[in-house]
Amino acid sequence: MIPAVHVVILGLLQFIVGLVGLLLRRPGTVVVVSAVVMLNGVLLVLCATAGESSLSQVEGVVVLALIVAVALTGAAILYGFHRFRKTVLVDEHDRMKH
Amino acid sequence: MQPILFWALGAISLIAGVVAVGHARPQKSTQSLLALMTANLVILFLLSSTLLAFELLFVILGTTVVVWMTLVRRGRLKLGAPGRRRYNITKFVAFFVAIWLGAIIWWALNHSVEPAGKCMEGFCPQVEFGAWVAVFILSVAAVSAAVIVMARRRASGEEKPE
Repeated sequence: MIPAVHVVILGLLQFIVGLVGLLLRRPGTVVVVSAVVMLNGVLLVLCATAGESSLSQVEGVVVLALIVAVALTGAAILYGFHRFRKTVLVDEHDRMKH
Repeated sequence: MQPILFWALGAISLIAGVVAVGHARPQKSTQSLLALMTANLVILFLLSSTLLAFELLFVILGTTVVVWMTLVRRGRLKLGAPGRRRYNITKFVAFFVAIWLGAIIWWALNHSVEPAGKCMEGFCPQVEFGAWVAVFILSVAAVSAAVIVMARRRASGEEKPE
């Protein structure tokens, strides 16, 4: 039996790693990957606190859908950035027009 | 034994997370993300969250296909390049999303005992009811998508008139 505290600690560590990458890194692909790492940590914390009920597992499914949505939307935005500005560095994209 | 296995997998996932965030090459970064998600998958199995583990498995499979076709073998993915076959990544994404939604609906249909919401007078909504609503909405979405694709093909002249 794995204590729930251990799972929460691991989830929080993953969340912190993702948050650091989200705040400090410049390439857009790494920013999207960092967001996915953060959401994986959230998923672990949710599993640790879920218990046996089915509705708690549905919340986990929602987080998984959010992971897919973040990855696909981020990839689409990066594609648009690269198409118009020829770079994926997020610091270069400081305007809402190209 | 289980906590040792858990922390071994946790160490793998944390190292993969640090590599994914810190590596300079996007390809290695994405591959490390896949390693992290795989470690999380085994952790979910350890936690007896079978549904979430299978969902995560489908997400990993879809991500693997997308990463393989866009980063590893990207030479074959030149959309619209003359003289080459056009590989449309949307079809692969749609395939895995369809499997994923099917798994959710199958699971919901098999858990129809538990009430999904607050029971009102004479009406107690079940999970099964929501699942059939999801089936209806997905069917409408599929028919709409087919109609839109056919209309666009006809408009762009890809479909030859008889």
